[in-house]
This record gives sequence, C-alpha cells and structure tokens, in this order.
Amino acid sequence: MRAQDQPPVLSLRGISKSYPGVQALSDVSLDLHPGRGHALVGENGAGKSTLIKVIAGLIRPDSGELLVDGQPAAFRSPAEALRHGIHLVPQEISLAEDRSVAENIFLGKLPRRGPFVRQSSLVARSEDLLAKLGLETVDPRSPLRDLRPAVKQMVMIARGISTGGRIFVLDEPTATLTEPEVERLIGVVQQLEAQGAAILYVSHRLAELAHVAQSITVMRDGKAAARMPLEGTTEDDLVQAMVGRPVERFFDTRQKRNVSEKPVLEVEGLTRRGKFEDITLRVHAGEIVGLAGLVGAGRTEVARALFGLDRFEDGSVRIDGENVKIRGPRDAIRAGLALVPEERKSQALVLDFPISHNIVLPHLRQMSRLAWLSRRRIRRLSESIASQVRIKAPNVSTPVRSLSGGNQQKVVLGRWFCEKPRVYILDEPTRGIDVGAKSEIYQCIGRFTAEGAGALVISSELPELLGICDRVLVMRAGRLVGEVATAGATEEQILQLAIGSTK
Amino acid sequence: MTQTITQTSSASEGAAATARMQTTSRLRRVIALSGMVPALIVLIVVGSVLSPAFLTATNFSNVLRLGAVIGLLAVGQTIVVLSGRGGIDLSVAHVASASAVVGSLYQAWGLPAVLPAALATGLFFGVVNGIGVTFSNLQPFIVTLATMTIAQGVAFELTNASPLPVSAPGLSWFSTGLILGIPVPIVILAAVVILGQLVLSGTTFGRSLYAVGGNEEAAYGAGIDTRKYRIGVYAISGVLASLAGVLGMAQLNTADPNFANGYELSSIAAVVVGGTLLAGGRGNIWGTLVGVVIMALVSNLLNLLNVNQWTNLMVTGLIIVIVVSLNRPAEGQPRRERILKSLPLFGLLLLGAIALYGILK
Repeated sequence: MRAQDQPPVLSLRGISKSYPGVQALSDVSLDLHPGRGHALVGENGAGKSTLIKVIAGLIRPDSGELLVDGQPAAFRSPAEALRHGIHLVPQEISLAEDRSVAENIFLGKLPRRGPFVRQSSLVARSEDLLAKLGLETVDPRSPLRDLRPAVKQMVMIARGISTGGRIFVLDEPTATLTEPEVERLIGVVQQLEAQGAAILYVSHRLAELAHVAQSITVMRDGKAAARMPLEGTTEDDLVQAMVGRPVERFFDTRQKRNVSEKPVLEVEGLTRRGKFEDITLRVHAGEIVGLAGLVGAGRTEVARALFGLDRFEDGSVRIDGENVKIRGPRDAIRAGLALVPEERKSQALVLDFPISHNIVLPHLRQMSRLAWLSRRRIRRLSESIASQVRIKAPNVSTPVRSLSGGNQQKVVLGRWFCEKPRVYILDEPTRGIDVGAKSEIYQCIGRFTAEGAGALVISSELPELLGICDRVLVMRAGRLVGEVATAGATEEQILQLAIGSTK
Repeated sequence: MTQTITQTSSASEGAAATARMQTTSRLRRVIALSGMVPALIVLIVVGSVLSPAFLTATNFSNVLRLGAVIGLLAVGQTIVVLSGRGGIDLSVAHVASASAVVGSLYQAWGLPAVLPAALATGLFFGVVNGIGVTFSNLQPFIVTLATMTIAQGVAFELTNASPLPVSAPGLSWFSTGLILGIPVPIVILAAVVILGQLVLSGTTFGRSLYAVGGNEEAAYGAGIDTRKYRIGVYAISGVLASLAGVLGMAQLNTADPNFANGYELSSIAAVVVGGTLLAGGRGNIWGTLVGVVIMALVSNLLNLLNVNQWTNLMVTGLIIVIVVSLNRPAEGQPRRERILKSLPLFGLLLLGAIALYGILK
C-alpha cells in the first residue's frame, strides 16, 4: 500500500461519449495510481470497452478530460496514448502472426544499424524481456503463429515494457487462459505493479481481482456505478452493483424440476477415432448433466458429433428410446436435438442479420407459405422468443452484431425454444457473458428442463457445473473417466478425474 | 435506452400511423437498398446537361437493350457473390457465348430447339461450377476460371473460331421485339431482376442464401443444406448466362464465340458498384441493376460526347474505384465523413489520370 498517497498517473474526469441512440459513457471519472491495480467490472454493454478505448486513444470522448501526471492530455490517436506510456493489451490480440516473437515485441522500433535490423541484439533483448516474464522456454525467433494465446498475451505485455509503458490496460486477459497460465499472468501483473506501473484490469472473474487490484470500479449503463476498495468486498456485493438489483439464488435451475426415470438421450459407444472413444452416456427427462474436462479432452467434439456437425465412426444415439440416424444438423434438429455451440459469433449467428432472422433461421420452413416468407410470422415468433429469454434491444430488427455477448447468446439459445427440443446440448453457454445474462441463461435452462427436456452442459467453469447440474461426467483424453453427483461434490473431485491424478 | 423486447400488444393500436411509417420506410428502404441511386440521378442530370441526345427515350432504350446482356450476367454474378466463401463466377461470359453457339447448332429446328439447347448448356456449365466449388477444395476463382477456359474452347471448337450466321425464325424477337412498347431485352432483364430480388428478399431460399453467405457454419448448424445452395447459385448463374447468350446472339444475328469477351469483368464491376460485398452475405440485385445502368450510361455519355473508346475505358476504371470506395459499407463511420476522407484520394487519382493522359498524348 506504499503507493497509496502518490498522485494519480492517469485521471479521467467526467468522460462522456454517446453514439446515435446510446449513451455509452456518461460522466465517468477514474484515477490510476502508480504501483497500484484498479479493477474495472461491469456487465457487457456497461461501457467498459468504450472507456478502455478512450484511455488507449482509440475513441475520442465527447466531453470530459484526461490528465496524465496532472497535465491535461487529449489523445487523437493510439500513438499519442502510447507516447504517454499507456499500453493496451486487448482481448483479441492482433499481432503479425507470421513474424517472430522478437520482431513482434519490437515492432515499429526494431534495433537497427543503417537500414538493416540487428538480429543479434533483437534476439538478445527479447530473451531478456521474456525471461523477466518467466518465459525462458520461448524462442524469440519462433514465429508467433506457433504460440498459445497466453504467450501471445505475454508478448503484448513485453512490448509494453520495452516501450517504457507505465500504464497497462488489460482487457479480460484471462478469458481464454488455463489455470497455470492465469497464475503466471497474475505474477507478471504483480511484478509490473511492484515496478511502479499502474494497472487497469478488466475481468469478470472476481477471484483473480483480489491478486491484482486494490480498488474497484463497477460500471453500469455507461456510468461508474460504484467505487470501492477490493478488501472486504464480497462476490454478492459486486454482482449486486453490476446488475443494480439483488440477485438471489444465482444458480437458479433447481426449482420445480423432476428428474424422471425415462432417458431422453442415450448414447452408446460413440467413437470418432483420434478425438473420442466409446462414449456412453444418458440424459434423463428433466435432468441437467454436466460434461467436464480439460481443454482438448474431447467434450466439444462429442457435442459436434451428436449434432451431426462431425461424423462419428461407431456408436448409436437414441432419443426418447428410439434409434436416430444423424447425418447432419438437419437430422439432429428433426430428431429433437438443439445445440448452442462454443463460439456463438462464428458458429451460430449471422451477424449481419437482425435478431428476428437469426431466431427463425432454423425454422424458415415454418415461417413460409409455399416458399414465401411471412414477415408477420417471423415477427410474432421472434418477439415471443425475445421476450421469453429477455433479450435487451430496441426491437427484433436490431442487428445481432450490435448486441452484447449475453444478448447474442440468448438469441442462440432462444431460437430452439419453439421446436421444443428433447435434448439441449450447450457448449460453454455462459462463456464471456456478464453475470446478469448468465443468471438469465441458467433460468432458461431450468425452465426447459422443468418442462421435460434434458440438457447436456459443457463448461470449463466448475462452480457453474456444480451449481446447475444434477451430475457431472468427466472426460479425459477422449474418454469418459468418471461421474460425480453434484450434491456435496467439490471442484477438486472433478479436477482430479479430469487431470487423472491419484492423490 | 434499450429495454427488454416485449410482444406487441394489440394489432390495431396505431395501425394507421404504423402503416404510414411503413410506406415511407419502405420507400427509404428501396433507396437504401442501393446507395448508388443518388449517384445515378446525378449522372443523369449531368448527362442531360452535357449532351442533348442523352436524356431521350431512344437513347435510354438503346443503352438498356445492349446493357441487358451484361445485366443478366451481373444478376447471376450477384447471387454467386452473395453465397460467400469467395464466390465468383468468371465463366459467365464464355458460358454465354458457348450457349449461343450450341443453341445455333439447332437452328434448323427453330427457336423451340435453339432456346432449350442454349439454356441446357448454361445449366450444364453452372452445375459443373457448383459441384466443382462445393466438393473440391478449390477456390471458386480457380474452378470457374477452368470452366471459363473450357467453355471458350467449346465455343471455338464448334465454330472453328469464326462467327456462325444465325437465322432461326423468331430469334430476332429477342432483340427487336416489343412487349407493350418496351423492347424485349429490357423486359427480360426487368423480369429477371424483379423476380430475383423478390426471391432474395422474400423467400426461404433468399434468406438461407444470405445466411450461407454471411456465416456458412451458422447456416449449416441451423439445419440449412449449404451444399445445395452453393450448387444452386452457380446453376442459376449458368442459366442466366445462357439467356444472355441468346440475347446477344439475337442482337448480332450470329453466334460469335467472342461476342461476350470481357463481360465477366463488366458483370463483376456492376456487382461491386451496386454495393454487393465480394466477401458475400451482403448486397442485392436491385443494387446490381443500378450498377449496370450506371456503367452503361457513363460509357454511353462518353460516346455521345465523342470521347474516344480508350479514354472511355480509363474513365470507366476511375469510376469503379470512386464509386466502390464511396459505397463500401464501413462500420460506424458516417457516410459524409467517409466521402470527405476519400476526396484527396480521388483528386490524386484524377490528377494522375490527367497527367498520364497528357504524357501519352
């Protein structure tokens, strides 16, 4: 806490920014102090991204001012922000994928002699930087393309250090990282703080924030809704500040749900060589079954094969006791399956389409008389579904591209409701969406299972699986290795099965 | 601010106001369908000032009659481009001439034989394109380049590389015939454009096609048989190309293997000028029609002004760049700002063109 009394290195004063129809930021003020971490949380669409972009010089605010070291500064471009030592590590990292790690670190300021790049110095200096970040094993000469996202992120941070960055903005840096990678990142952030850098850390994962930040700003509807010290703040406090109302019973899938004896989905010996083998499982009517495992354990592959997106070589699938042959998604839909895929933007939505057309996409046939689409039917169905899943948007003609992640996910989930599927396969249904939308998705899952459907939920968030599922199946290296009834189960039990340790 | 969507409560509520809003918004939508309508209007105004012969019914009817051939190719091209995944049909022009040539071989049996033979040829090449693109790992550019070359070979082989005279009775109707006083080629193009646009915007086929072009994986996951659509669009393009071939044959009274040379590029130019994204999923046939008309009128105006053919080409090239960069849907950036930002570039281009012209002179 030594740095507490140092004057802020960056201050925002009354920042506002509006877009046609949306007040993205209104009167936001924020201070970043050297050597300290400040957390920024809020639902998607609360204005976090806009605020970050203002700080990084990507967006110019309509009003309000930025002070760097107490001096007013206006960033007309990202380059100017960089000159002040402000370094943004964005969520989706864009680097020169085909160039080497070293070149990426020093992009734009390669050490040169005359017109030639000094390779030796470039590599040596990169090695130094990487070593500081605990990445001795990374060869600075290897092309970036070969590296994991976590390492690319470190390259971005190394770049910031090499330019003398003193304000680091990290936008959901851990969204795609594994547990050890998260720990390493936290270590690096702490190191940056110890060296006097100011950190603005955006994350939905409250457990992480305790390690990297001392204070926290909660954004809601474009405003800084609450500011508090991190110490003593509970998860419930934060959720409440983010959502703006008390959230009772977060994992709300249990009410009025009867798990029947009757299986709706029976999979036997499902095999796709090299991906998964001999998968046998059952989901009963009204039951929510979790599928846990490490990334690469084959969970997504099973989901894709069940839905007909990938072929499988062996095995049978029964729905409501009847054998079904699934050659493609069309067969799967007809048989009563619904899939919410892992990547909603690339795998489920047509971003240029409005909400309504995305919702009716699997049901175009029912929306038409002969071959002609009925606008009225489309509107009626999509409005009914949009209100069921509580999509927040001006109307159903709003392009899906402009929705927040949570609302996009509601479109993907809601589109299946009208077919009354027997089994929902949900692959990371709440990845990257805010707390409010998460709880609404859980309610939806609770609702359709209460009506007698079954659900197979893939998730990498164990608290989620333990919270909403009746039992959790665990996969490891393409095989089912165990089953845990969630009542009284712990995350450790599942992890041990997933990793295969025997302690 | 945004709110949760609720179901509209009562249908009669403010029905009149809604209806009024719908008419204006529909009009606006039709204009917005192609951002190039204002450009077209400017072009017509400028043209009528520069040349008294420009804004006359005869001139327009002539321009459109000749433009109908490229128009038909461009409609097919639009549908192919909309289907995404690098969709493009380079073969349209040579399929048109090959279809005309094949059709002409049956002229002894008259139009009832010529027409089906030509259309079947177009369909054949279209389906070959579709199957090639769908079931191989090859880019549409490559596949259609190959069929383009094959179609060219077929046309040359069958004609010994010299135009065949055609005198099938009734064929000239496709060039000089009138329906309600309107030249037949224009009627055919209008019918194809209207039908095509209705199918695109109002049918399951159209919606699915946009979905396939916008996000193929999402469309497949929603149960749409994406392969069927991919083959379908190339088949449609092939058939429209053969129809264009018949129109061209009727206009020339010969089956000329060379008559459509370069038209594939003209059709692509019309598509992009009309605002359809080459990336697929966005655009429409109405815009393409505007694109075709703009290109045809510019060339016609320059002719009327006695600008020579080669300068005409240079100007056409410039216009493509300018129009497309104005019409490109950029995200978040207001149109006015975009136009202002592009002005220096256009100035430079224009200066460069004038300088080049001066040097060459």
